[in-house]
Amino acid sequence: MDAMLSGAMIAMLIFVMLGTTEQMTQKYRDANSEISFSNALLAASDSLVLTPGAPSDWDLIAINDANLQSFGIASSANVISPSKAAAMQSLNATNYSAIKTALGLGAVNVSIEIRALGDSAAIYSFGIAPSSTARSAVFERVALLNGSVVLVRMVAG
Amino acid sequence: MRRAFIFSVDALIGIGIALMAMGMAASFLGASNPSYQHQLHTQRYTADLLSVMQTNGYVDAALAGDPTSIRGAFALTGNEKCFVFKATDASTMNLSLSVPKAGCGGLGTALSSAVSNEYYEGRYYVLELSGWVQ
Repeated sequence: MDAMLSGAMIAMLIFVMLGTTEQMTQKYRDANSEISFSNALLAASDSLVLTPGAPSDWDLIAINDANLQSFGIASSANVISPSKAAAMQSLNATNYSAIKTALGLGAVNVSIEIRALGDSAAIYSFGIAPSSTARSAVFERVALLNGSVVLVRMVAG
Repeated sequence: MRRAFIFSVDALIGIGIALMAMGMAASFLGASNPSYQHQLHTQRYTADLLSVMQTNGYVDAALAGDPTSIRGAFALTGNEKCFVFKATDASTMNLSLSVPKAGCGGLGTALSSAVSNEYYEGRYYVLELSGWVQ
C-alpha cells in the first residue's frame, strides 16, 4: 500500500515537472518571438529614416522585388527627402509588397505615416494598417522634412 | 533501505513543489515584453531628437543663450515623454547648459541617453540628451 502510494506520488510529481517545464519553455519562446519582432521593426525604421535606400535613386526608376534591395526615404540621417516621401506615397497601390519586403517586414502589414511633431494630420502616408486582432508594434522616429520637425510613425503586424 | 526510499520521495516532493512554484511564477509573465519595446523606442527617439536639434540649429541657438527652440521641440513630444538636454565644455568638462523639458518630474521608465558633440565658436561641446517615459 505504501509502495503504491509512493509510486502514485512519484508519477504525479513527474507529470507536474514535465508540465511546468513545458509551460516555462513556451513562455520563453513567446518572449523571444516578441523581442525578434521588435528588433525587426527597429531595423526597418532605421532603414526608413536614416538611409536613402538601395538603389539610392529608387524614386526615379521602376522598382520591383528584384531591384529594390533596401528601402529608405532619407537624404541624410534623420532628414527626409520630400521627393522620396512623395514617391513612397505614390507607390502605395502598385509596390506595397516590394517596399515592405525591402524593409524586412514582408510577412506582416505595414503602415507608415509622416506628420508634423505635435500634429495628428498626415503629411504623407503609405501602406496598410495591421488588423486589430494581429499582434502589432509601433515605432515612432523623429526627423526633419523641409526644415520642420516631423514624426515618422511605423506600425507593423 | 526503507528510510533511504522515504528520503528520496521527500526530495522529489520538494523538487516538485519548487517546480510548481516556478511554473506559477512563469504563468504571470506576459508573452509580450513591452518594457523591451519601450526601451528600444525611447532609445531611438532620443537619438533622433538630438540629431534633429543639431541639424536644425537648435543646439547652436541654445549655446548662444537662447534655448527656446529646444524647449519648443520638447513641448511637441507629448506629455508622457521627458527629456533633459545638457552641453558640457569638452576642454574643461564644466556643464555649460542644461535644458529640462517643462513639466517633467523625477526619472520614470525606459531611461536612455544619446550623446554627440558640437563645435561652436571655437569650442567643442559634449552634448547629451536623456529621455525617459513618465
